Amino acid sequence: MIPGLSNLNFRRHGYVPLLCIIVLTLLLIIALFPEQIAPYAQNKRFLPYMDPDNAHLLGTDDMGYDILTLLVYATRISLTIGFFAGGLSLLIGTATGILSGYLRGWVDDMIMGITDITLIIPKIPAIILIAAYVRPGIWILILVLGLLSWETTARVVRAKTMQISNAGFIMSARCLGFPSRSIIIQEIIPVIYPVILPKFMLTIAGAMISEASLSFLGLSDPMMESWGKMISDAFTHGGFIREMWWWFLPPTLCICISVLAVTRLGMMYETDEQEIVSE
Amino acid sequence: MKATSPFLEITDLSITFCTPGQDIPAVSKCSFTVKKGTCMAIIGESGCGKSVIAHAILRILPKNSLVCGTIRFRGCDLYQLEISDMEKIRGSDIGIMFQSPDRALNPIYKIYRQVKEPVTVHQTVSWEKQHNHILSMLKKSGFFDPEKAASLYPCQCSGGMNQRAVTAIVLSLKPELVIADEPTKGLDTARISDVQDSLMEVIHEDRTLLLITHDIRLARTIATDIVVMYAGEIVESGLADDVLSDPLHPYTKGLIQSLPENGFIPIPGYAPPLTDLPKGCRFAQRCPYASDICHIKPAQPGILKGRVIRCHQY
Amino acid sequence: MSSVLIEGKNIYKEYRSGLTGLKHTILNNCSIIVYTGETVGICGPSGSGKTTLGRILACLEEPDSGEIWFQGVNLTLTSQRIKNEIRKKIQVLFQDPGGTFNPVRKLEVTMNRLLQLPGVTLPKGGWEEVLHDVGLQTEILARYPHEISGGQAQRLALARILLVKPELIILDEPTSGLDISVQAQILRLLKDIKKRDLMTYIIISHDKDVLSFMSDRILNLENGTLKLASQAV
Repeated sequence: MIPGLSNLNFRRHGYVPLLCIIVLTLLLIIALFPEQIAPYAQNKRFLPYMDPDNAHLLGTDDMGYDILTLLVYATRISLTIGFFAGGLSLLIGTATGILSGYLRGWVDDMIMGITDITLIIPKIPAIILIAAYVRPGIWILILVLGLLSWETTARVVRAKTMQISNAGFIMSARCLGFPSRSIIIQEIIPVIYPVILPKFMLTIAGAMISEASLSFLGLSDPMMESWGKMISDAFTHGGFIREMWWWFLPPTLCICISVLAVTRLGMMYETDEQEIVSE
Repeated sequence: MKATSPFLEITDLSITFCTPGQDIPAVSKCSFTVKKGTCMAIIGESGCGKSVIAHAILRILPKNSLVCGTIRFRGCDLYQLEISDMEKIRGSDIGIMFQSPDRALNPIYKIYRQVKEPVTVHQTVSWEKQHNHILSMLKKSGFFDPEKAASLYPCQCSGGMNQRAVTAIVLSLKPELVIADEPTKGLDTARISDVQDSLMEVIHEDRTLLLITHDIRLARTIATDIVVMYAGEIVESGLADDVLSDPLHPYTKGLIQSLPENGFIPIPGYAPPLTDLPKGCRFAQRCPYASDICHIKPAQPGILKGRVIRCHQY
Repeated sequence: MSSVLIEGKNIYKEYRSGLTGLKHTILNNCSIIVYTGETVGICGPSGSGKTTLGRILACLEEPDSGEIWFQGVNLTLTSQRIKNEIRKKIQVLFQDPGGTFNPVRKLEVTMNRLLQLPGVTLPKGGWEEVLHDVGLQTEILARYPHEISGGQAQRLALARILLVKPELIILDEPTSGLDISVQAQILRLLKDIKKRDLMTYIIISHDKDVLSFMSDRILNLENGTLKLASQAV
């Protein structure tokens, strides 16, 4: 899944990254096969507001749905949004960053202008505004989150590209007559990917949190059962008043754990990068 | 301190870096002494272990290194000292000048503050005298207008001025031993003479200088004694004039031959990697005089004409 | 009289400091003529613009004004396509040879990538022959750039350049930072290659000894212009 995992060194990084990978793999399995893992079908209804017992480990909600089932199905939504929005922003950010750092001149000025404009757009209010006009389905949400979060990646990638495009190996590749496209793909990207990867992980985490906040505010698709939506439901449909912690705590924990796992994995690559620099 | 004991005495020093794959013998069985008020130059190619010795003296080697042998500074074994005592010795008794002064200075502080900080930490002079001490040090290092120089940032100074500032910092603590680690590496001719001037300034006041360099011309100008290292071993040591004018060891001869004034005649081949040293003499593969015994048995240091030399020929 | 290989006419180049916006003139009305087969040394203290001049001649940077002519073609006016063609004939041997190889790749990957270039083919003897010419063995290709010494890296960089079959090699401080004995080896090697391939060199260095050993004539770069410093008889 992630390039470079093969040379993961547990002696150097400790066992936390391994734990993160296990957590993420578990979440991924849950997201891929919710039908097999969830105890009930998605639309099966029981008595509402049931306390946890053996049949319903996390009780039921106001509509009588099994909360554990909801939680399992929500994993898919939350992870999809996180990874796709992160991926989209990674793609845009890396492409613009490398282009502007490598080509410089007016291309750089233009791209950085756009980046700065994107940077000053307040994310959540903008999404709220968009939500007011378009009914945001999952793909719209991914698109918006992805399109609004690439600018930091672009800036980091640009700085790094500028730094290495004066390095001897880029100079000599240019001198030997390699076309720019080949230099970017073959020479620049392999060197800067330790910078891109932590950024990717952080964007994933950021997208998941944004999605949760939006759903909590009730601004995303009401049919989209994500973790954020579950907390929102618990809040608005009596979960908090009845102190049904088994309703709102599990999705909260899920968000925390997945965001932590993703960020921590990214941090591992960050420390790796610094070690290369200090050498 | 006994009057008879030498100033800096290194006996059978071996340094090994322990890496997961294998152990790298960076320095093997090196012994030499430095007399007070002289300049000792260690010359050799990069990777021959000369910088490692400097770092070993200050005990700033990486954690995975294994040090055997003794380093005695003014008669006391540096490796028997507590870390806190060692910290006092660093800077105030033994100062080090690294290569490239532009990078050795902190770019965001003025020169004055950079000279002041070590003086404050080590409390070399009393508070009232500090200001004058700093200015006089700057003046002594070659700034004609120390007041002005003190108020500059490193980026406003030329390379030569930064070199003088670094000298001022090192000298302001009045260390008795100064170690200069590759002070001329990658510099152009004008800068080299700047460095040379500051190093002369160091020796001037009965200080001792340990010069680590691959620049033979610099060593010839400044040094009184010289140690030639090859692949972690001392191959020849003695008085600088003797060694450089009449080299005995084939490697020293080769080095002198490759100087510009001798027409750039190179030594063939490469130094062996420290991870894979030959069984016999370490220079045997490149040596024009090598005989069978050189490839089988390592040479032992012997004494000839007042010099230590490690070669089967003698 | 041999033909003119490269000529720089009235090259002007300035840099603008990012913070203060102050202009700093590096090259001012700088002209140079290099004939086929000769070795021209360019001398000057650090910061005098030697490297910038080398980069401009190698088409790695554009001059602010002035013209570069290579074999009768005005490089400042031609299309990018022709310029790319010509650029291959001018190669640069950089200082800090270790940095001229991609740090995250094994050397064989970097070297094999060369063969993707149009017109670059391995001789019959393969890498062994190429590396043997510069005094290296093939096992070096299995290493990473940081695992080889400066001298070896400079030899490999030279081998790489020779594969492209250049007509002019700009040597930018080829031995700065190398040990004295290695410096002698590299300089000797460069001389041998010049004799074998009848190569033209422009050698940039601050070391007058190196320059007088290598060059037919030495130009001094002072205040942005070149002046003849010495000529071998």
